Amino acid sequence: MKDLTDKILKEIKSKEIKPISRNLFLLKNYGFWTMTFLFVVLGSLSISLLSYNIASKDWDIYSRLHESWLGFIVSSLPYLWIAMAMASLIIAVLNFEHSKKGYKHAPIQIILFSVAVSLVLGLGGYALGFGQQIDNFVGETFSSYSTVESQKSATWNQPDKGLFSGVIQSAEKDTFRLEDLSGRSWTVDFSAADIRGNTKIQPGVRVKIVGDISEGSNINAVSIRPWGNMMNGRGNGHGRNSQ
Amino acid sequence: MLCMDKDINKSDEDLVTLSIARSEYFSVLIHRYERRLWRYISRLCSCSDQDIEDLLQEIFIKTYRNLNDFDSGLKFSSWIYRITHNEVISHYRKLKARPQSTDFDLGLLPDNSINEFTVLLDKKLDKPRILKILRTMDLKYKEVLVLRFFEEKDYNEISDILKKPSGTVATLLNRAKRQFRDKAKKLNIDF
Repeated sequence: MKDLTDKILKEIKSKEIKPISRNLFLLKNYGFWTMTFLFVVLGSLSISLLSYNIASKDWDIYSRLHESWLGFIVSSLPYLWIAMAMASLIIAVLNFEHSKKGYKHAPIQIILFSVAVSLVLGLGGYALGFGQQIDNFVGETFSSYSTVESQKSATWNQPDKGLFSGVIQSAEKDTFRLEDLSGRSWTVDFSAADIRGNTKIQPGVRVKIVGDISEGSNINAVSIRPWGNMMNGRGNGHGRNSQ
Repeated sequence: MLCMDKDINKSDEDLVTLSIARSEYFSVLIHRYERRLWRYISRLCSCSDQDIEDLLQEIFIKTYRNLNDFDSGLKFSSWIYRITHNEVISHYRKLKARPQSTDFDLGLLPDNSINEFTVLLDKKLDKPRILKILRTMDLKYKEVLVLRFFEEKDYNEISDILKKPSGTVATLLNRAKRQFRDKAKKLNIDF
């Protein structure tokens, strides 16, 4: 055995083998954790965007857009952000597992912890409006990306399906005049309509309407809702700038 | 050897710090672990003395190069066993592809370990039969039995060596015992 010790020491000396620098390990460690942190942030932002996307959908109008509820869900889910959130989560979990102490925890614990952190940060980010900001930013950066606002505009500009949106020009007791996204004017009878959320029927307010064309440019409104998300009131649509 | 006798009593962790500054101190660590690691490797794979020596040389040099990465929250023995485990795993396929040149050294299994092992399995078996069964076992099960009963590591140490949660170590150990019994039956060893 003494031979082996001598052999190893000789090899270390002859090949001038040195311990790898501590700083290199520190750098590797910091790099590893920075990458993990970035993936957690990316996953959280994806969840913010996913939440914003889902919360902005008017799930109750599916019957006017699709024959089945399932078809509506399948065509409405934001797959890009679901994939991004899942990929980020998987990479973050793998990173945690391969960290120095990661093996001490069962994989299920690491997965649950990562999901919980991503959900808390993601939903927190959504509540603070990051989801909408990122969606707008991505839309401005990539022309091929369809923002939630543009999808919503397309959905709510289908008179043949009874879906309208626009800005109230003037209001009376049971009717108001609406100018839609294409600049067309409508007279909306809302006497029998369900006014949802905090919708205010007054000039300058942007609204979404479910209804039917009675004749020419007259609409019998079934329900009127604010342009923005009813859950958190974001983008409540006052004025034309909200478009 | 340049190290003094007083260095022999230093802790592993102190020797790691000293070895970073002067490679001569590393000889104390090599001296302290070479026999144990030799036994550990020989229990995991039936390879020649020359193969084990080459493997040990690689392990100690790798350990030396990575001394600055040693986490003081870990026992040095767990760390060097982990490096050995990784090297054996990566070497295992090569060894498996070759004809097995040597057999287990029966003397490598101490009697007290044999006793503890057989008592835990509720059966009395002699060394040759234990070794015959161990030789047929999957590496992952054989390794956990070797670490627990022949290297006398506790669950936390095995967890640190194999980089698996303690709960998984307990599960592995139970499955290993089950496989040991199954293999014994297949080999017609009265068990």
